[in-house]
Amino acid sequence: MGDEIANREGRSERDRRRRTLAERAPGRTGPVSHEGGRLPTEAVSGDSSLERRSFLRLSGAAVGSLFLEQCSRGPTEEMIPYLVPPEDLVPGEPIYYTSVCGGCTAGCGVLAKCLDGRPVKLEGNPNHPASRGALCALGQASLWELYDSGRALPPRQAGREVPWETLDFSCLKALEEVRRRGLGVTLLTGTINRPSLLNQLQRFAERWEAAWYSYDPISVSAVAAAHERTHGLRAVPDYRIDRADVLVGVGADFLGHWMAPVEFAQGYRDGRQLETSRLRLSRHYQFEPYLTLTGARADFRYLSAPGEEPYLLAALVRRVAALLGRPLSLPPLADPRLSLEVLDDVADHLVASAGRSLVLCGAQNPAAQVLTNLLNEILSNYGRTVEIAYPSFRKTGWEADLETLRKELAAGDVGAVIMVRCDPVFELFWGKELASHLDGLPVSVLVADQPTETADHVRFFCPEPHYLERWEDSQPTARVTAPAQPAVKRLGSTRPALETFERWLGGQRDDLTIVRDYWREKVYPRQVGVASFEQFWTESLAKGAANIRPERVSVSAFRMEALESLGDLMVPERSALEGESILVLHPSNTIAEGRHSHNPWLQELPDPITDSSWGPVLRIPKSPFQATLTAQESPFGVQLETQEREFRLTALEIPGQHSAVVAAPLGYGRPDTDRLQHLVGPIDRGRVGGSIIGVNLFTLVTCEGGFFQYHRPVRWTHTEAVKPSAALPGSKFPSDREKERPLEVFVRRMTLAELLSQRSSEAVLEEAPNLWPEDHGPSGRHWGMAIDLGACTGCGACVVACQAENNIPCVGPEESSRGRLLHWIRLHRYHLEDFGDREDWIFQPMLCQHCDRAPCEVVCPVLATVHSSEGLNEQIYNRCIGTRYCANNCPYKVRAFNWFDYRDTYAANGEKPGLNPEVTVRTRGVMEKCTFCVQRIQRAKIEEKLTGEPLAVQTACQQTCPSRAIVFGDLNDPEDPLAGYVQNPRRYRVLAELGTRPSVFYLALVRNQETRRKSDG
Amino acid sequence: MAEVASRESTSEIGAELRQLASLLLATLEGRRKLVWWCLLAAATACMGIGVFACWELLRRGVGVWGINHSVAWGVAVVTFVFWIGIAHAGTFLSAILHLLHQPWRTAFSRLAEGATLLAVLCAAMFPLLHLGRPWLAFWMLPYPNTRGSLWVNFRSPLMWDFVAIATYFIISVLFFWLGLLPDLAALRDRASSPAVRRFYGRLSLGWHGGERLWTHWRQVYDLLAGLATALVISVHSIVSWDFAVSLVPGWHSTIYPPYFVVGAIFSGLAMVITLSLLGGRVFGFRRLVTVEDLEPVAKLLLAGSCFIGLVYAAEFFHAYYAGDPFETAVFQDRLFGWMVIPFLLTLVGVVLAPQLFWFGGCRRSVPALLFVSLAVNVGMWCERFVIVVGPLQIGFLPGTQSLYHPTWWELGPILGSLGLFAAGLLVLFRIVPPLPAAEWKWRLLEERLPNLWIREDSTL
Repeated sequence: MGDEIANREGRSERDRRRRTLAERAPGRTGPVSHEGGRLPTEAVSGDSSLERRSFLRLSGAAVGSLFLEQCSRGPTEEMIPYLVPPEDLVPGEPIYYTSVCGGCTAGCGVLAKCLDGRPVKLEGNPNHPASRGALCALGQASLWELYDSGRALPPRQAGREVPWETLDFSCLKALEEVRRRGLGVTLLTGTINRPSLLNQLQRFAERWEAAWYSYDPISVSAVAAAHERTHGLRAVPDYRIDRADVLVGVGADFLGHWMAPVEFAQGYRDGRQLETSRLRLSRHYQFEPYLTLTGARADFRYLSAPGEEPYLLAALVRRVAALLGRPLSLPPLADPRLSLEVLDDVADHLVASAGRSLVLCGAQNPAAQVLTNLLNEILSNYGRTVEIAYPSFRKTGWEADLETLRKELAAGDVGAVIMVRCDPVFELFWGKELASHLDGLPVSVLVADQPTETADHVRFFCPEPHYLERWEDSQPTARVTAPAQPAVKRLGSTRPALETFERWLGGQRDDLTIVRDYWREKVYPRQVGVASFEQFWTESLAKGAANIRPERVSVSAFRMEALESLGDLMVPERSALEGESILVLHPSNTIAEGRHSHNPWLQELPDPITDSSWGPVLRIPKSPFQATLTAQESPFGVQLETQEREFRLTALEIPGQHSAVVAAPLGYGRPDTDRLQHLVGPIDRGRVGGSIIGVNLFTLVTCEGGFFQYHRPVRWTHTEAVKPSAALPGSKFPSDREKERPLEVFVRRMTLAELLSQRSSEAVLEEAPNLWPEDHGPSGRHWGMAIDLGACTGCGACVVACQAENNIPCVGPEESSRGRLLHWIRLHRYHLEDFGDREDWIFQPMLCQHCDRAPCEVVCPVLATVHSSEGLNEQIYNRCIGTRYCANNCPYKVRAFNWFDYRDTYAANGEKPGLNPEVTVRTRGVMEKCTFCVQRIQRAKIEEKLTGEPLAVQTACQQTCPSRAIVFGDLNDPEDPLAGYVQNPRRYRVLAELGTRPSVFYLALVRNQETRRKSDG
Repeated sequence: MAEVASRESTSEIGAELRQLASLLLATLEGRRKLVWWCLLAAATACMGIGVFACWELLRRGVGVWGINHSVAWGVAVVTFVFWIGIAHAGTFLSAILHLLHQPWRTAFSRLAEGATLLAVLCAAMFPLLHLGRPWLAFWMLPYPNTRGSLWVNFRSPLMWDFVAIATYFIISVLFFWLGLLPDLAALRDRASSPAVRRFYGRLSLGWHGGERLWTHWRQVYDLLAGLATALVISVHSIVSWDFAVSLVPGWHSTIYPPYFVVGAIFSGLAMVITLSLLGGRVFGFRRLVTVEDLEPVAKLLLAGSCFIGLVYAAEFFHAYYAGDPFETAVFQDRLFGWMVIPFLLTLVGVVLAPQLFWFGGCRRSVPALLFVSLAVNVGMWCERFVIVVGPLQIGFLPGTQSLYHPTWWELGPILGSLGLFAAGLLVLFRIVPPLPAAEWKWRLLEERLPNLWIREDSTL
């Protein structure tokens, strides 16, 4: 219509002006819209000289129509359906891709759940031989990094963004220049147990005659060193905890972050099965200086100072050898400061379970490790619970050589440092020195998926895609080889390390081809059964692991001569002076060694021991020897002093710690964590300028005798902390105030004898009679859960899994310290002191108990929380007006309130596409809580209806639990596995006497604490 | 049988009545005092702060307050209970004491009734503000809606609370207005400008002072007083059920309804003393109402204080005697834990301070009356803080114990409500007389003609 006007001749200037007005009206192009259509017709209907009135009328209409345009719906976007839809893509139907977790080097199998092309949740892959369907908190949280707005970076050269071709060209040119000048090329990596990448790196190292150094920030190199002495192979053995009946841990936090927590937790759980008819309960002794998750789980836990391990193990060796009748000549070592009865008891049980026992030592002291090997050898554990012929590749770092690199760098002999998947500037104690060297090098390269501190000091930064965006493979142990496939198209202009090194070696293959070529050549020949490569490959991908013969490595028999030089192997130590404590640096229970410290899901996960989040906490013993401090109320500020530097940290008194030891977590203090201040929590609160979370304590690590040492003497003094170094929700360690409380209503324990004598808990745990007639309970299904306190290790995987599944936002440090965490499941820690000096720790996952007589339901004035016909306590977000009465009336305090609108933060940190579309994103001012993963229940019910297959629902927390502590099912179904738990004599319900009738049952903790071991049988 | 008054004495009484009326109603006329302006300015400033705090609250969310997942109700609910308590004085004075034929109540019944209305308004503000989504508060109304069978939950104490307070507010307004009718008519008759006359005329609903009108008025007033008496008991009982019906140790107690009702009347009477002392100065009826008039209130305060002291003791005894470890923990916390300071303030303000009234000198001393009445109200606010926050901080699970610190944003609305209360009273008693003129005239008549009521009754 606009054109019609334009064609008209003899228009006045005024007309033209009006026309422009009319043109601006909607419907100028395309179909004529309702509100704009009539306008031009009227504009030209009269004669060319318009009256004032009609002009005004028309202008009014035109202006009005502009507003009408504002009122109309937004611009139309065409939605074109797939012309040829992908065969397997059904909108709304999840697709699961097998892959290998890249969270740490343990190499657990994952299933990436993709909805509409986006990975929204990671699950453990049940077919993976190592992780067996579980995933730790780190693994669960690694999904967040896929959508991290701070990740997807283009390649950078000298700080400027460049295309990959430019980077490749200049990098290779510079490398050639370095070689021409006769300078060394160096490869520096973390542990890489990705066979095809290792192959690429080896080829690269050969091509450029590069020296290859590797290290682990949390090193276990002493284990490898000891096996080099005793078995002629520098490798870490594969520990088969599942086969052990007696476990002795000496400073090894194997349920925490020692090598492979998921596999070890699974194996540990295998040894403690009380719900089946075939009872199995391993016996676990732990010697450690501070409370670890492993120690909290142990049947017997004893304190030993760091550095004491060789003495302790030597004493144990002597006793075991005596019991076995094998005289051994050991160099004289002083007895440890432990009661002899303890060691006798340990030795007694070890010998009785010879071949089914396992001694694990976490000390970075080769002498201690040689003694550990000796113990395992004389107990005939090699080949049974310790596999050195099928070693583990989870930690292959060898920091002893780093000194060479340091010297070469200082001498200027190195021209190129190529770093792959490591952050040495942050993780090495001489990182600052390295950084200054890197700044001056002609070639410094970093291949990593995060813009780490090292990235700021390299000339060429080659960003890698997230592990869910690239092809790779993994071989965490000799028994396990698995392909790692992507679950989503690459989101940024990143390039996998495989391709990067392929280009630099002159090839053009993509990552998939590289992996397939490698597998065809190296892995396929070892496969079991006859199949074509294609079939083998497809089956391996479908399963998530290859079905192949494990690779046996040749090792020598145990070399007794290793014992002769035991004295030389002792690590020289400076003992603590008067007024000093030994500082133990340990991987954080939540962010591990810190490679994920920019991940808010992990930052916000409360430490299961200290209950702190968003920062490091210095743990001090319950009764510090410095008398001046005892008067101080914990938490308080503490200043740590070493010769070189000072740190300020918040200190918490934690029970179960050696009186001469203070402990602090590594991994905090990464410079890029300041951005988290803007990414989480209510972002409109006007916080300007962030700050780095925590301090980097890697600078306090030392290297003695070629082994990273994680303990050293420090002086610490009380100081006025300016602000807490971590978010502390304000609650003290429960034992402080629980004295007057009957803990039996929360957590229960039984001895093995009690369980065996069938002193059923039913008699003890009789619930109050129910005055209400059972006339309106769920008659069909009744969803319920059982949680085994004896299995739970407190690792926190369930918390993060729930967060990922249910779109739970992070609230940030400020809100965390106010006790406003939104987690639907949380871990309560209990510390019980009894039997004189014996202490006990219990972790209790606490979630909505879905009470049949829910106190929250009666008090809601608007019926926003109601009971379903299947026994679920349901929260209706869009009905909730936020009186919070339900939260007050909930005895378990499992209801979380949206104090602010957290939806903006999703958008701000790019997390939005990773939200689970099956779960509502909550708005400000509504209450939320655990739903028993109702979306999974609904999906399973639909499946059941469509296919007729029986229902199989796994909640997110249950699916991920490495110690299989959570069971979910139908309480009304006697065939359900849950029935076995609910009828178990160990079962009880928390606060049962309130009559809320929860649907969540807990199973009492059973410890194997019988003083006299029963005769074998 | 009636003694017929002589013509002279009748005209004498008439003159006296006219003099009294002009004395009483004159407080509304003339220039405002400086102190009135200063107080109004201060109150408005407080209101401004409150409005700003509320705006920030509505903009950013209830998270600006210091409450957390364990302590989901904070000082907003404390202040709500506090204002509801204050609101009990008016009805108590006008209804119960009216039915009990206590003539001394007329010295401050109007003040108390006005304070009731404003206190209910102040109180009603807090449950609305503390909602997560206050714009949906109307969902608590049981109105026919398009959401099918979705209805309100009549099992929820909040629902009862809502209904009780709404009823109480309506009855209080009616009661206040009904009592005002003769005074409004008098003001209409005295008005010099037509606008003012029309204003009071509308409000007085055509009151003409006929004998039958008076009779009907008295009947309705008695009826409403009876209704309101039931409400005095019910409202705070129901407010107490917000707590007593729950599972929370320290809240779950049968002593709560009487405890709350007495506490409410107690705090309301204290507020009446404060208001009478201040009001006499501000509105200029200092010479009409003297400290002697306040003596019965002081005695009531003393009685209430003793009763509440008894309840405190009973609560502790129950916790000890029942042996429930969670309840014990709550009461131990009051004595030795986080709640020590608020609880000590409560004891001083509520139990100890009114003990001064055992001495007649104190009952008749303005500073003592002012001190005790303020101490009682501070103490009562602290008591509600101890009641609402204390048990929530303790709870059941040791891991969920959590300390609560109010934020400035949380204290803003409290200041605002004080401002609203004060400004409301200052404005209200520029419009209506702060003393019930009609009742005072009746009292004068009764004194002069002791048999007047007998004659009245005989005609009924």
